[in-house]
Amino acid sequence: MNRFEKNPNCLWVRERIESFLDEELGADALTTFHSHVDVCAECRRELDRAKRVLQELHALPELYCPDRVVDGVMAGLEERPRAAGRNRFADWFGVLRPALAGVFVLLVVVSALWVLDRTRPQEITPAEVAEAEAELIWTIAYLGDISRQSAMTAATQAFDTGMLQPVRRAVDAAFETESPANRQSPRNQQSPKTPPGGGSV
Amino acid sequence: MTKKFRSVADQHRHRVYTFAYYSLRNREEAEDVTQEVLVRMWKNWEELNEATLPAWINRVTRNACIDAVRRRRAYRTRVVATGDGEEMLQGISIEPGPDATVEASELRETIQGALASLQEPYRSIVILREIQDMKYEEISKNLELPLNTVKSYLHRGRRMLREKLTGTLDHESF
Repeated sequence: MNRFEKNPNCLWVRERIESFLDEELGADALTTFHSHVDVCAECRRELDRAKRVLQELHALPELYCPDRVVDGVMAGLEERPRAAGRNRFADWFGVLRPALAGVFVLLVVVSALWVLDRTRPQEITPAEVAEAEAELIWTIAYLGDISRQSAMTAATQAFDTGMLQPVRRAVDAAFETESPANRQSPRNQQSPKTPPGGGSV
Repeated sequence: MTKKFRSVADQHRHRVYTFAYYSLRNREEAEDVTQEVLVRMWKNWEELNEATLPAWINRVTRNACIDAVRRRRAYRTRVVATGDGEEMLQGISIEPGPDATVEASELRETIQGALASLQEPYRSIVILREIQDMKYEEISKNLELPLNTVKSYLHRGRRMLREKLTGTLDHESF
């Protein structure tokens, strides 16, 4: 069991030492505080410690900052006027920036219009239309001729190389077996075979 | 413009330096932080005005100190990670040497060490309130914390200091 458990007032007082030193305790709290501290040596000692710490803190002096600190900063700032001279252009540029942006946009727009004007289709004369039509007809005819020639060439080559022989044979066979004309062929209409042993009656 | 800047810098430099020194407990680092704050002030000179300047300076100073502590920690970690860290660390001036220390009693020196070892935001609040005598409202505005939170952090920060210093205080007083 620690001291605070023996005497709950100690804990109460310890928690209020700082408020007591800052004169923030109300009248009732102040009375309770004093009445306890008067009889409790340990809390009185703690209060003395707190007072001493505060005293020592208040006694810590405001320190003098050596001149060299500010001199060093000011020496660094000596560069500033030169920098300011250099920055004058930047400042003017900053002011002129919207105007320069406007000029740039204008240039872009004018250039775009000029390019569009150059690429716009010219007016076409009837003679040019007729010429274009003639060229188109000639081209179509030429392409037709080429395709026809190609087909003929391909067919000739197919016959010459015998590629179509199997096909021809198959077609012939089909004609021989399936065609009604084939069934009525003169060869089949020759005199019927005489039955064996049979002759004319 | 530089003349006016110099005048304002002279007006605020001691306050910045004091805060930085008690936060970092190292004169060179405090000077670096002060310079950094003044350079930033120059860079933002056009946007700053008299009304907002003190709060702005406090905020920038505190952030610069936090960065300095982080850099120091990162450096320590790096040095220790290289293997022969202990020897190298002995050569690093993290604690103030005898010449650099503010002339103070042993207790005062111990208090400074304990203060610098506090976590944020306790450290900043204790320095601003108890050393630089700033009002709660100003601290609340500068650190962008509610007023009651500032009070609560201040009390907790002081209690932490007391706990860190109990041995020394007992040795001195009792």
